[in-house]
Amino acid sequence: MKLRRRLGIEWAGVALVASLIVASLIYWNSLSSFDNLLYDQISEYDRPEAPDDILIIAVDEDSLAAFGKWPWSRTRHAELLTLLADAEPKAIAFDILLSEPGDSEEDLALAAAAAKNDNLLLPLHFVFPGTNGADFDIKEPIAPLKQAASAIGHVNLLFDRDGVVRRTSLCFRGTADRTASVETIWPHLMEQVYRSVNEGSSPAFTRRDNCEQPLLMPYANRGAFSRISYVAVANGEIPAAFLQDKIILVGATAQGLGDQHPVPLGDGGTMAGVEIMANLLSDIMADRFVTPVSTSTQIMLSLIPTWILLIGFWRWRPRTTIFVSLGLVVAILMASAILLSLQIWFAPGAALVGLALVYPVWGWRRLQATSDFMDDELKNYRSDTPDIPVLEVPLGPVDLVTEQAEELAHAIKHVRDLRRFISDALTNLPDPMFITDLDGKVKFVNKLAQTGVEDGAQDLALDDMLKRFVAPDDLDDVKDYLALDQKLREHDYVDFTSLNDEVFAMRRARVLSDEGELRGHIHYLADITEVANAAQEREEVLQLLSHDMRSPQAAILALLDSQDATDENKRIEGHARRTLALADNFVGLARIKSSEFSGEEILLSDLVIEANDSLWPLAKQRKIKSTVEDQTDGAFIIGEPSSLYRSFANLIDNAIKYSPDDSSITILLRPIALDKQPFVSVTITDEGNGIAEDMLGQLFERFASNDLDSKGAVKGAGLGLNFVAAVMERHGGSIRAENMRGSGARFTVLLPLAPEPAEPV
Amino acid sequence: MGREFLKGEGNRDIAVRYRGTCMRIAIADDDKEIVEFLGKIVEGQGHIFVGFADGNALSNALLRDTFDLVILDWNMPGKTGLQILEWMETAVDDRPPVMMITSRTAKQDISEALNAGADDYITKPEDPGVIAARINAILRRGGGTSAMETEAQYGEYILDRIEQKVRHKDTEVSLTAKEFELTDLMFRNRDRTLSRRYIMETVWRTNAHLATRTLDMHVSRVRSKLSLTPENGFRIFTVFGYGYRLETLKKGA
Repeated sequence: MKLRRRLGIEWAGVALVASLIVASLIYWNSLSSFDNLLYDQISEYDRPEAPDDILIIAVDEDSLAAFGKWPWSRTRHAELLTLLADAEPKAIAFDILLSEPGDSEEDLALAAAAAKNDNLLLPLHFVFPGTNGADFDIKEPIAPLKQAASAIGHVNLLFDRDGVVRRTSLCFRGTADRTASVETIWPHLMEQVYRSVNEGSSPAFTRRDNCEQPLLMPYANRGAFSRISYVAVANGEIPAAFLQDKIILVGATAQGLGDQHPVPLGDGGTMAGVEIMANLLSDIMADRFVTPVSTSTQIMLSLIPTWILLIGFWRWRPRTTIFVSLGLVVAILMASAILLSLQIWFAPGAALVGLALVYPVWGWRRLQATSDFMDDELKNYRSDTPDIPVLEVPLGPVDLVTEQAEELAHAIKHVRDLRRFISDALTNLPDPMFITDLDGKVKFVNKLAQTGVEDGAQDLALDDMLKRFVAPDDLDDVKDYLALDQKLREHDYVDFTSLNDEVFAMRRARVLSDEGELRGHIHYLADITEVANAAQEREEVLQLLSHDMRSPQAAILALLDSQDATDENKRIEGHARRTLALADNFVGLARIKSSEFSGEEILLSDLVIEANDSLWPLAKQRKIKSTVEDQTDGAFIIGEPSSLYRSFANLIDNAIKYSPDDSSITILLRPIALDKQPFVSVTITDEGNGIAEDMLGQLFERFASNDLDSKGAVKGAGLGLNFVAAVMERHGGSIRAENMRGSGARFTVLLPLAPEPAEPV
Repeated sequence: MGREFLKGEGNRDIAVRYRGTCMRIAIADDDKEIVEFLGKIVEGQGHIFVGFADGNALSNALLRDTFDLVILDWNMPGKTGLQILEWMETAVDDRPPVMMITSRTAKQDISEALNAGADDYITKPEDPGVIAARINAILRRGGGTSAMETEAQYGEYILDRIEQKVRHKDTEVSLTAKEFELTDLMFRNRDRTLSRRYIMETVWRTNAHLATRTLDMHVSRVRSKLSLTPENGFRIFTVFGYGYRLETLKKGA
């Protein structure tokens, strides 16, 4: 249980930390380089085709060789534009910056040539930071050209942190100078090309609230776009029909011209700016930009594999977990690739980091917790191993975990030895014994209890087990005993006769776990055949004694009844009655010593009154007035009526004996509290001579008799008071005797009151 | 229910007839002295008796002969008193009332015999007057005085059944309704042992399990309010494990 909680806390900690790390990696975009690499790799598998109608006219090494070093005279461009105008292409995007005014004649010639083309698009670009504190400067084409162009678009590229051009914005937003309050939107040159060919903005542009949002642009393979050399066109080597209806991008490709940028083609190489434009244009036309998922979605998706693993940790074995983690890595990459083909980019980096993080950290924490737990448990085990003869094996020095494992193995062996020892001890127990679990199935039987269940008692239901050796008459008693709660049982054992006529006492004890939980019951059987037989015999003897001693006395008294009441007859009657009392007290005393207390609820005042009433004839003869005064309000006690009745009769009889004629005896019942427990006290006070001082101490001992003091007429049976004392003790009460100051003796009996009943009287 | 029951059963004519009629009583005891002692008491009441010395002789006679009452000892040769009692329950049609008189004093024995169907149980030795009263009570069966009578006198006690009052030596004792019914029941059945169950059903008109203390307390109050003491000729005797008996004593004996 302790380990469970500890592991729970560790797990929650690992889960929280891993989730936070994954989330913050995404939030602060810390893994962009890694994700970009993955993007480059994944996009490798699905490159778009380059459309046929895009044609690049490249200022390549051949052209430089033919026309000399860059920049060329603007008349050369004018000638090209004139030539192109005749070929009637769909559009021309002139990706060569012409923002500084040059020779004005050449500029005008270029503008004139440009004007011949009805669909010429020219670039502008922004310089960051701008002059005079502006955010940026706008470099537009020179004024005459700007007028000749049908539209102008910006050509700035977006560079990722690693300098690679993966993304682009379809427009640029900004305030042209610090005074302007309205934002201006400059569409990208390629967007302008699209617009000039088609009616209206591209779908990718219109779909977005913010056209500036960077979009990942898929690249076609390097060199996929048709490309012809500038010099070839300028020299008229290209037929006009080839150029007709093409979208022509004019730009520098020669290495020396600097318009080369790294692109995510996975080969680490660069690409000419104009080819990047071509790719962008084809992406715009095909509308196949890749949109990254939003940050929150990214966080949620990235956490899924981590949590699958976290939850799996509870259920799976370590081997399963490692396979699942590897599977998850593949799944993340696959998911990323599939999403990419749907034009959605999910960066797998954070998800992978989450997996990589959670697996070893959890492994570490789990091992630590388990190790600590084992350490504790072994310590506990060592500290309370019972002292039984089991061999100890010394352990050599090894590393910590090995040591723990060895100790564990040692502990298990120890437990095995212990179990063996206990099972040997139980099996050879001198009395039958069996153990049941909570379902009442027999789980262990020792050798002696095995008799009668030769076919094996294992897993036998308790009832069936009982039927095999309990005599049918006693079966219900035994079941009643077993069904009762321990606290409610009258006795802590039940005795029964077996099928072989042996008598057993069966006791049930609880089997508790170390934590005090009930696990089952042990049933001990003690063979009490001899004891039971002896008790039976004693009871028979007592019965016989009681009946056979009383009967002749009763006959004597019956005989005397028909005789005249002579003095002699009266004396015979007195002796007969004394013999009767002696027999009653003797048998009563013997029963007390041999039988269990079994009380019932008794109204003590009435019992005392009836005992007093029974002695009325005797008292009347002597003119003694014996009265009961009841100051209780219904003093109920738990008692055995016969012995109590006899006890009070003995006490009152005694009082009458030692009272002078014509005196009175007072019997008083009062409620009192002893140690806050309610008791009832019964005092019997006479007006006789009292008890001899030397007798007071031993009055209640067996065979003590107070008849020394009398004049010979009264003789008490010595057993009387001994019997009374035994009865009071048996009832949880007491008796004491004292002499009154003037004259007379007082006997005080204290008995505990019965608990109040639930229902009112 | 109690009263209706008594109305039907308690019949004065029968009582009168019993009082005036000579009854045949079987007395079984292995002790000759006891048989003679009991026989003398029975004859003193104007009845005749047949003595038996063992259980088998008695059971044979019971099949052939008719008795108005059987007085049984417990320990006898042949069949024991309890065995005869159980046998009579099944073997004898319209079995006569049975009184056990034995030396066995244990509480369990008494309640066992009473619960087995004995109509009364007396432990030896007992005063002849008491035995005579108890025999008469059994023969009376159901009360000597009709429940219909509005006023009845028992010794110095006068029961006014209309006012539900008891007068004792010219002083009026006030009782609750239940106390009066209990008093009435016990007086009508004086010298007979009544089971707790019978009293409960008759006075409280319920056989449901009533708090046992209720009956104990009522008996106790009746005893003290009416001063049912030997001086006044009565005593209430508790038969533990079974019930109560109101005994009449010869006044001044």
